[in-house]
Amino acid sequence: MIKTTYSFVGAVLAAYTLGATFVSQGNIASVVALGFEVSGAQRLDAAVHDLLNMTDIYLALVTVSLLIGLPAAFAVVRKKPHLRMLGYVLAGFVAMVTMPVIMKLVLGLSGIAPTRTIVGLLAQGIAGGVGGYLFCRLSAPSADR
Amino acid sequence: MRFTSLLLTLTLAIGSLSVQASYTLETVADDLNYPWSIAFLPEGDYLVAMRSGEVRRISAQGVISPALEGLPDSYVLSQGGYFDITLDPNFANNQRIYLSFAYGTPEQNGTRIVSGRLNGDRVENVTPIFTVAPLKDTAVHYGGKMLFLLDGTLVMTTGDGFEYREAAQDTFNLMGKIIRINSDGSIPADNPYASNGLGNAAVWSYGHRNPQGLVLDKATGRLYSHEHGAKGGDELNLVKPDTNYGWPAVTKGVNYSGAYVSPLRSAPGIEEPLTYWDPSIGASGLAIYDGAAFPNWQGKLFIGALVDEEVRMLTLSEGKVTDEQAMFSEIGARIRDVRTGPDGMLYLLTDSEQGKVIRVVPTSDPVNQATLSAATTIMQGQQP
Repeated sequence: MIKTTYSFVGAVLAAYTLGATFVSQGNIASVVALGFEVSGAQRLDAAVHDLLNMTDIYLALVTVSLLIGLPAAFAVVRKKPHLRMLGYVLAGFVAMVTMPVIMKLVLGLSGIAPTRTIVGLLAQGIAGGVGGYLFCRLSAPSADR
Repeated sequence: MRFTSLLLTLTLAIGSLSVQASYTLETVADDLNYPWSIAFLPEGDYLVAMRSGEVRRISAQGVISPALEGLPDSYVLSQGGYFDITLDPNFANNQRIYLSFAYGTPEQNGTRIVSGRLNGDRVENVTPIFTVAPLKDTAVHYGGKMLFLLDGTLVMTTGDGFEYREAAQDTFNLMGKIIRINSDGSIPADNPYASNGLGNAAVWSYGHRNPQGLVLDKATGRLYSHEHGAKGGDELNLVKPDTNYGWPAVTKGVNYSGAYVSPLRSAPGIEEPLTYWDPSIGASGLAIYDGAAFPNWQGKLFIGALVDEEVRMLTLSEGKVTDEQAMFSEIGARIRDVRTGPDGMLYLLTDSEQGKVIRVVPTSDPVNQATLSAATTIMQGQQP
């Protein structure tokens, strides 16, 4: 249980860090596309700022998404152990893509601005997939690691 | 005049500060379903447009009419509905009124202006004169504030639709703009992009998010607006033609997620706001006080605050905000609109299903004292 817990926390932190970074750079990409210059230092500053300031809503959303996705994957993996890696990665990916889609369907608005584009949406999926991968690795029986 | 039942006297004695004339808050009308804007008719009646999609005529005595007939259906959802209502500068002769509202369907909606002739409790010959394009599929960020400039042209704010914020930087797109048209909907020949092909001919200024306040300083001809930022970043602007106000590339606010909208807080070619609010106050409604009832308020800007449930009084000096004070917090309601009435009083609209029209009068005015003797709703305070 302890191993599962820290594996889950690790997965959430990885998905959050990567997802927030994608959000940050996605927002900047929109600004650059409008013809404005953003320096490397401003990009870095934005990444740090966003990582530190998205903890209220976004971190909660990532946590809830993976809290649904990874146990769902566990239910499958238990019956199909050979799909362990694929199952967790896919679960993380789907969970993080589904989150903004549900927000859009419920609110009619995109709570995470870059997910208005397919690239931004898939980037969130990748962040979730990495979270799933990490969960798979960290929670694996010692002999499998 | 109809008043409800509340008497609240605020006695303020602040140390050695000299006592100044106090004000009284009168409820002119209540039980209004999300009143959004007010227009003052020459004979003393009021027209109040409500987000619920109706306009009611309120007599000088406070009697509320049924909804005016003849006006178009609105797309009433979330922030959509009826917005601003204003009279033609030549209203005394032509009885024309102008209404901005959310038009369309969930999939295709936008801000539209119609014009018609007011005849009692009916509006006749109602004609659309302008519709913001492209239409959108969100029910928020419509802008919708409008007024006539001294030259007789009509300006209106438009919002970015929330999902389409980049459109605010596209001069060919009418979202996130202040537009300027003639009273018949045609385009003035001296608009910035009327003939040079660099943008939509109706565009006056761009880079706006969701402007919810617009006022003309009749003494100077200056046009001011304020707009909702995202999280932090509500801003007050001096509006100039062919000027970029930055949204979403340059802003003081951040996304509701906490992430930057943009790391740029200023940039070359972007007009800086006169002031901004972080955290946001939910600025709504904007007036310059030019009445005689409150000499201390002459020339000051009054801004409603939806979030803070008060009014902000700003002092401008040489184009800069030099003082800001919170007022009327004793009302305890979201303030949707602020206007100076032709009687020299300040009018406030509260934002709720049981919204009110509140008139601010000086208690030292003997005429008002006589009026107030019949009033049952009185809230007294002290002006700064």
